[in-house]
Amino acid sequence: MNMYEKLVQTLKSTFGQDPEKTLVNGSKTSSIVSAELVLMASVLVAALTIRLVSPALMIVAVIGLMLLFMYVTPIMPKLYKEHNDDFNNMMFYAVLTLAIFAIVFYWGVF
Amino acid sequence: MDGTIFIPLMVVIPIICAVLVNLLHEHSGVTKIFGYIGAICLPIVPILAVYGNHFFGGYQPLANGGLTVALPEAANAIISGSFLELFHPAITYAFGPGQQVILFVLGLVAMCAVFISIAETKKTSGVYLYMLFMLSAALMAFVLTDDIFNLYVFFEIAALVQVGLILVSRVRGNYETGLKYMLLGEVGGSFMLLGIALILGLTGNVNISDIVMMIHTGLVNPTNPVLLFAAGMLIYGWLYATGLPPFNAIKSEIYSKGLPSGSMLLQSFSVIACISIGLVIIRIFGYLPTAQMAMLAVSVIAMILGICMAMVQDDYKRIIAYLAVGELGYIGVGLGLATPLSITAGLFQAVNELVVTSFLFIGFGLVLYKTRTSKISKLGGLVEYMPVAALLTVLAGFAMAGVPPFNVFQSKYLLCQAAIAAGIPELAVIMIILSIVTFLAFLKMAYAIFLRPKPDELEVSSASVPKTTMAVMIVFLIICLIIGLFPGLVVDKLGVLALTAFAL
Repeated sequence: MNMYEKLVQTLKSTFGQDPEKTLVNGSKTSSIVSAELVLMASVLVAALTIRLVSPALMIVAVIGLMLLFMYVTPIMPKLYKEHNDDFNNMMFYAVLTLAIFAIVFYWGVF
Repeated sequence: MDGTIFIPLMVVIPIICAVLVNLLHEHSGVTKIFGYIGAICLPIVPILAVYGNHFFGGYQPLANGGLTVALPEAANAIISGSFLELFHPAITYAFGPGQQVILFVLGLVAMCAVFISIAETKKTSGVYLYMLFMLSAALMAFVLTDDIFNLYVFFEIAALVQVGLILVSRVRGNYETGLKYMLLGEVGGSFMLLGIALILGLTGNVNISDIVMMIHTGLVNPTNPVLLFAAGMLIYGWLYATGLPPFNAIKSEIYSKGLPSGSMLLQSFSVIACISIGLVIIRIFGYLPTAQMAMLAVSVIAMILGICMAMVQDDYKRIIAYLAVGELGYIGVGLGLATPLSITAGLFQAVNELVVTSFLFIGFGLVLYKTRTSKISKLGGLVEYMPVAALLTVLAGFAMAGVPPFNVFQSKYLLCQAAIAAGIPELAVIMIILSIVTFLAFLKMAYAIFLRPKPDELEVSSASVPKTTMAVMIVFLIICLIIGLFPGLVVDKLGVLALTAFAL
């Protein structure tokens, strides 16, 4: 099975109840591939800003991200599933962010 | 007559209109007249107002000479020459060139929202107009106030009104969305209030200028852990108000559940909250690199997530909603870089965002008006039924993507310049990549909705497009072009506001 077929298979299972019957057209597939590439490119470029903290850390982060992308691709279907309108998910991430902010600002500023 | 009297009127007039249209909601004609009068006042009053400060109750700082004559000798001896002389005893509204531009554009958007709401409904709803006016008043107060607690009060009023706007929209799932937004607001708003309470506890003050002066002159220890924690909580509240991650999902959901006129003001709330609370954070905690880094990091995540999520949606309301949230990230980047140029660019992007996103909400609102569906996969061939509206909607999309000669091109260009000047060219690269993808998303959406053959099962209403809505879209297009061709009209004034973020 080539890469494209694998992707379409993942999209069917993400966007439809029945993967066999779900129609994933070319437009949808190309949108998701574009989103996937944009996500990877943007995150990698954003990771370069870690050089302002430590150049060594930036190299580690970029290599780590590249390896991560190789293993978890395609990311967009997973992100779509996770980033939904479910209240539990929203509240979980809201509380997680609150905890991160509280820790960083109370202990980690100076 | 002192022209500064118009400063509080920017908030008072919409509140009075809100009360009147609500009281008289059973009389559709009277409600409509008050609605029109109030709406026209919204952009006019900021033009008439004179730059300056308004001190509620007339209680000016003692240094202005207002009260010293009434004070006993002993009190004067203590106060004279001390910081107490400079403190603001009353709620203060500050109005300058930057505020004037923002309030004028906000007033224009609110006016258009009221006009569209009246034009698109058979019987004018006083209750709905009440909410539009109350939200407008709250947003005006956001921009004007120099008092952090007053800001929070209007923030809460605005949050409640937003829920109201969703509840009356009659869109499927609106009650659930409203409830979710309120519950998440309990988290976001409460911790923001905690941050304000901690600042009040440490400084004994709620006036933002006074707090800035106390921290920057060493009256309060700027490295006090409680103060740092307050900074974190204030930034967390900013995320909730703005709809940056982790609140981007709920923000995009509420945009998609509102009526077009409501969504215009819902997104205006996010934009105005982003710059108002963001400027407060920069003014008070500008000395903290962590605060700037947190703002930048969240803004970049919002940009990336917003655009990537928009690409995978099949509902155009959700696409616009995600793109609107993503565009807020650009404003956050401008504020987070915290240089005069970047803040000016961020404010410029905010002003443009107010116009362009409203323009888009109206344009795609017309698609919904004609077809009663928001699923892209069910749409097609609409250019035949609404050619002018389709062209205007596509132009609105191009404006948001940053295509010249529209206004957003200028603000995104300025943001890229600011990022390079600040020594972080990576941000400029990300902004350019994401603008290209935004353009791509619009091309795809425009093709699917307007250009491809119409599906057989799609029913298109024969009702003509409301003239008021078309007129509003043309007004927005003209504004986009004027600001795009003559950015100096706006940027110079916003630059003054940006500089105040660095003034003691």
